Amino acid sequence: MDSFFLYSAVILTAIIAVPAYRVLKGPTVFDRLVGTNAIATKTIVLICLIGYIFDRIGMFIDITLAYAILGFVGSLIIAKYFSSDKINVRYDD
Amino acid sequence: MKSFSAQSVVVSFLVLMGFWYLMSGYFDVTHSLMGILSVGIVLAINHRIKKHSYFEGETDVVKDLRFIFVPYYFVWLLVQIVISGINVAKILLSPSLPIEPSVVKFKVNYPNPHCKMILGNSITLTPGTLTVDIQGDEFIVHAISPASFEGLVNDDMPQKVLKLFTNEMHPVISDFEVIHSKEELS
Amino acid sequence: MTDITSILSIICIVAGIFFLLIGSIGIIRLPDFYSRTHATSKSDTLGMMLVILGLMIFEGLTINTGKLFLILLFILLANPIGAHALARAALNAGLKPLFPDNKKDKTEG
Repeated sequence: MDSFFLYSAVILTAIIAVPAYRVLKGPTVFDRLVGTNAIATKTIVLICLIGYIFDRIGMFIDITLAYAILGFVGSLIIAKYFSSDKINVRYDD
Repeated sequence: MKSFSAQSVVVSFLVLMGFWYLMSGYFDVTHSLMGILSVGIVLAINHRIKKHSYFEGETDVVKDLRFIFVPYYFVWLLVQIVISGINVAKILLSPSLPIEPSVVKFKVNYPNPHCKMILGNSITLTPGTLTVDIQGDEFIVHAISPASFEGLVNDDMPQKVLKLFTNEMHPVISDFEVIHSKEELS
Repeated sequence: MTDITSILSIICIVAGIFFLLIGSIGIIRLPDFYSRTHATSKSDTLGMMLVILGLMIFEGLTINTGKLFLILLFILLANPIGAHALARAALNAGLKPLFPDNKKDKTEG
């Protein structure tokens, strides 16, 4: 079971690397934000799996909760910042 | 300003205390006293949030919520999440990428704003639709294909949300319009 | 090793990782911002719920299962709200959705 968690964590790391393409390439700033949001949410699952690999799930689960809440609040604040029309957002129409 | 009842303070205290026990995992006297102290500090700092009303005509709706229908609604929502995940997978794994995006506008008629919040969240989780904006009573919904907003046109999902709060059924959706080009979207 | 809970949790985790992979592919393949939001909000929510459900089955009945359930509830609430906030910000900033009749004039990122 330990090696199963290890292999799934490795595969999940490869999956997390895929949206980085959209973060680097995305035509508008919102495409980049969707990419970072996807990376942040998948990292929650990755931290849980790492906790089971090290057999310290009691410690890692608290880190996961704090990470999830901070990521959610951060993405809401960034969305609020960009929704103001006083800021010039560049996008290719 | 909302009314400030003792009942809501007791409910908040019990919920926060349950959260404390879940997070700490100890049930002895010392940790319980520390928990009571922490919850008291949190309630003292945040007591003005309970009096603040975020939008017009906000009332305490937890009393109106009919708890018998809540598990039924959650089971329905979980089934919808599984269906929508499979639906998105089917679209993305086919080589031709069969999408046909459109934007839908409609007005709703609900007794309180919490219904609109629940409906917005459910629209996002059901297959092929995404809530983009809510202005007053008007919803703007992005749909990935025309087949996906049938559940909204025939008033199926909004009636389920209405059933959570009241017994009297009435049609919820009105002024339904589909937008096909950039110029119509002001 | 080969008892029934291990097998159930392995099935759940593999299915969840498959749906997370679908979400990643969707961010790359779909043509415009609003469609990409569909991929993240639906596929990722289902995938994360399945993986955490698998971990809960593996863990059994301890205090950590309660914490994992708390994470599950938080994801179920927070993921659609985050997607909705981003889409609303994009609409307010003036980003128009892509419609089928003018698909050709948009360069694919």
